[in-house]
Amino acid sequence: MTDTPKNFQPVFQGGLTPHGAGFRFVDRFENSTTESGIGWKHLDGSEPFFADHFPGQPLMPAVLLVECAAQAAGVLLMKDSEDPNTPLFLASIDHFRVLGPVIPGDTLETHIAVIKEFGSLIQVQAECRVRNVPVARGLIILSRNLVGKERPQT
Amino acid sequence: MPDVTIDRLKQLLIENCMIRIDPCDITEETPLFGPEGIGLDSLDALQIIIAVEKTYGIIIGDPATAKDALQSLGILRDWIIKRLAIRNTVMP
Repeated sequence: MTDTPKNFQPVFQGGLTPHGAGFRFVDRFENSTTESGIGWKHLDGSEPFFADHFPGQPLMPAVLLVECAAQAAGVLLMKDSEDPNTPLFLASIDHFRVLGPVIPGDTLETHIAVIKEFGSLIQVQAECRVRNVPVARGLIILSRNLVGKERPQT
Repeated sequence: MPDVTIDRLKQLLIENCMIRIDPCDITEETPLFGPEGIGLDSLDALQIIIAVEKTYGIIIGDPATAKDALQSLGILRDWIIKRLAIRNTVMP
């Protein structure tokens, strides 16, 4: 499902984030303020991870809830960026808790709010909800640069 | 408002950063960054900045100020005390 608000022009071909279709966890995004917003992702059950997590008992992996938060935050931050084509990177996951299951048929609603932007780093509060019930919440930090040192050549 | 002491700031450090050494080894002079220090990185810096804002209501608004204020716990303590004094003068 792609239901893009009229006031938002996607900068990436085919979606709101630079990810390929198979790893895209924001179908739609709307700002609440300039520093907060909501991303939606509908899970129709065809997502490949449901087949193996777990066989016969599909459950969205919790790490993908973090990814939902990171992608929704990325959409929010890239929209008003001087260079909206430059992606952001997940740099830290802090105090993230899973509060409930997410299963096929659910529509995830990820509420995002910027806490602090400092240099190339941005700390964001995230809460994922299904039918307005929190299923995960926590803090993440996104970076405008790829974090880490160069790896030694092998 | 919590006291501005080395112990309190060390507690903020422990609660918000990934400390890789025994906190008992951190003195007020120990550098927080760089090879001679305790090895904090830019993510830790952001966590400390947010913790200082929440705890003392003082905003560290730019990287240059952060670089000056976060050299060590002693320098951070003195910087916070100075900023609180300025704030109290402006808003008695």
